[in-house]
Amino acid sequence: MDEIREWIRSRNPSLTGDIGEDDDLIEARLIDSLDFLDFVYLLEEVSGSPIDLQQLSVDDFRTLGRIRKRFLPAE
Amino acid sequence: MTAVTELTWDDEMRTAVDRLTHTAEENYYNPYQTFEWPDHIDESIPWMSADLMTVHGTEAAAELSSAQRLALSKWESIHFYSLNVHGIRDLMTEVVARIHTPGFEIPTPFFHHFLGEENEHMWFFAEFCLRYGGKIYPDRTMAFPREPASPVVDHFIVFSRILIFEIIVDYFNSRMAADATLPETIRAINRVHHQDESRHIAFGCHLVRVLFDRLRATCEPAEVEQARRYVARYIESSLHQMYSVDAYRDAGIDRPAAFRQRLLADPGRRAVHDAFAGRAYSFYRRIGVLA
Repeated sequence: MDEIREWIRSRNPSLTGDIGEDDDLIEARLIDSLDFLDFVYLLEEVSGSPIDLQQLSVDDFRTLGRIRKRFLPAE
Repeated sequence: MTAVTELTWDDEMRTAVDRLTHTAEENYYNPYQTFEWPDHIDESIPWMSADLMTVHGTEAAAELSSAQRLALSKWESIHFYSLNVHGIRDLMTEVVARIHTPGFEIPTPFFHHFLGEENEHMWFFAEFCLRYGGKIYPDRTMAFPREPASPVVDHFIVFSRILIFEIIVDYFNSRMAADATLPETIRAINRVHHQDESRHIAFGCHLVRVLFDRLRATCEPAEVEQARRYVARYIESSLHQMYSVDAYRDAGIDRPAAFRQRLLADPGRRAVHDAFAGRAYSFYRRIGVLA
């Protein structure tokens, strides 16, 4: 999960403070449609599994908590 | 300043629509009977021009075997047409939402040709992927809630997305249509697409120019800044789309995600990106969007 947090910080250098498990990443525009491809590739690398976007919606990526539960259950 | 939603089109736009509509009618062809579809395409020769491949100009390229380079040229070719299939679906959806709606009376005659031709392009790109790759690579984009904006900003962003996509794709089409080392089927689909896209790009430039003038005249400075930022980021995002982990995996490259990161970070790619998107950067600088 540290890699995910680090990636979000690198894309949002003005971000200060911690990113909470329930913070809405989409509403806060910490992840948006333009960097989503890079984000998904990172998530695939961290999780070690391909992600089929046809079966998912933006809500699956809305918070760190949901990302952990959906893609990184072992953490 | 209050946002004004009415769209107004200048004489230059009206003249362009008339001219491009006439040319589209004159050049109309039946795409379903235009191409030769051989049973197989020779896999012992490249399917993509070497300078268009994502490994071009990088240190990582030297680590690939000749078999991997050849396989990558096939899968990056399939990936490029897959991107076109998904990109066309997105842009057709946006144009369908605007054709024959208030404000779009002037561009609507050309929207009909645009939609008809894009549908045909999607068909021949998909046909190529399915015949010779056995698949269309899945869409890697996701629909996000749109940032709240006035309609003119929304229109500007939508038509900029279409224009930027077309300009970058057209760079590839022109190059591959002229590359005598490629299989003839690949040259043909790139040639035909380039011919139609020349009209679409000319149309898109007029549309975006007028929309940005309107945006500047009627919107808050923050919205103008939002539009500028979006264009710059969309160009970069479009270039990143070319780097496909799926294609690297199919070419037998180890740790494909890490490979993608290395390529994107390679300084040798900067000049290549500038060339791919050079026409888009020039256009947006000329109309005052980019500095």
